[in-house]
Amino acid sequence: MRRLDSLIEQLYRDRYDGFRDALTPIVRSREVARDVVQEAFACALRDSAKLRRDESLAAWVWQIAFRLAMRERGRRHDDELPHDLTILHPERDPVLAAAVRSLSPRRRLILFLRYYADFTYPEIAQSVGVAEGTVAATLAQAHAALLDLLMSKEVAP
Amino acid sequence: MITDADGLLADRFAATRDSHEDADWSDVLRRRTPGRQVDRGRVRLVAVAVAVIAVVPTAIGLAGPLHDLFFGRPAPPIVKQAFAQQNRMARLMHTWQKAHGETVPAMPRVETAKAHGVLAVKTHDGLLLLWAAPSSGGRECWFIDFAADQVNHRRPLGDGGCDSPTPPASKFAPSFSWSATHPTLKVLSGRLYVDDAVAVIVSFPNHRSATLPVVDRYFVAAYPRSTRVPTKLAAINRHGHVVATLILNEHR
Repeated sequence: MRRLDSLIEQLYRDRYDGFRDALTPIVRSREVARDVVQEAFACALRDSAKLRRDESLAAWVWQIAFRLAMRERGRRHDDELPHDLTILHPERDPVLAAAVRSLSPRRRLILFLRYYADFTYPEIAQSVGVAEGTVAATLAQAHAALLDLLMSKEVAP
Repeated sequence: MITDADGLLADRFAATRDSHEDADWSDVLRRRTPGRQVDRGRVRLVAVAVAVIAVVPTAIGLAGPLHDLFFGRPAPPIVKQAFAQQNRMARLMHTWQKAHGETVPAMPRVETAKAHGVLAVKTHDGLLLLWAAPSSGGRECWFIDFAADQVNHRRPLGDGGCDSPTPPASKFAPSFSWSATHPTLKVLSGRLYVDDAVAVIVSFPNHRSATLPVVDRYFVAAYPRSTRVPTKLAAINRHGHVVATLILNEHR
């Protein structure tokens, strides 16, 4: 158990920023997202015996954090995702923000896990409860849609 | 010309991030102890007995299968375009990931010319269609869209997936999601990795259930958006025996 605690600590030290940044669009505040990450890792330490042997640690902690974040939004974790998920600081890249908003909330979440939390495909698959093949296909389709929108808005004279 | 989709998006997302350094492991350790003071009193971790109000998915049974008429029908160009885009993006992503030393399962290459209809069900938004196509490595990819979205759209609108290199232990690969283009519906779809399943029994949190036909190891249905995530999926064979089970929304 001590070894698992140290793995949780290592995960925190390596990937705290990613967890916070991927959660911020859900709770709409960096401060609240920080609080959620802190609580999620504290929960993970308390409940580490519940981690299954075949489960990714990062995905398991994410699921805890996601439940907490959804509670912050007054929702159950199995409710639908909020509609207003948007990138961090949309004013810095309005074109990207608009393109991301055109995607379904689930695709947006997968993008945030990929590009904010730096999750691998297997980690994303476990985090959102879909097959790895679905993650890869979803990202490929999201990429196609995003690039199409980005190029049409940015290349147009 | 863009040849590095993953890298391009990674860079653009990175530019929107903050560089706040507010990590604090000692705070996590303090919070670990039950009964500690919550800093801002915002996060409510205490388990609360919740009186659950059953939400009845009133349109259960709305989806009527039309698969006999639809199965095997060649996919229209816009669906083939969806698969072709997926092939193109998967190739670019794989190239970038390989160059950056990341190990990811290779996406199968879809044989777009062989894309065909599998399932069609009626919904309040018109026909919901599930298309499949054989792919490299003996795998399959699928794409789900509404018939209405195939008209007057320059690019495909829909969602899909591909078989993973190894089938999931549960023998189920389900999805339950909604889209901005059809905001009143949630689509439950999935792929089964057992040969003899003829139907999937879907159990909902309000103790209601629905039976969906399985065609070529796929199932699909649409429900009102208020419908909660199913608690259980059970595939049955023609004798009524359960051949695969998946428990969802597991509270641990």
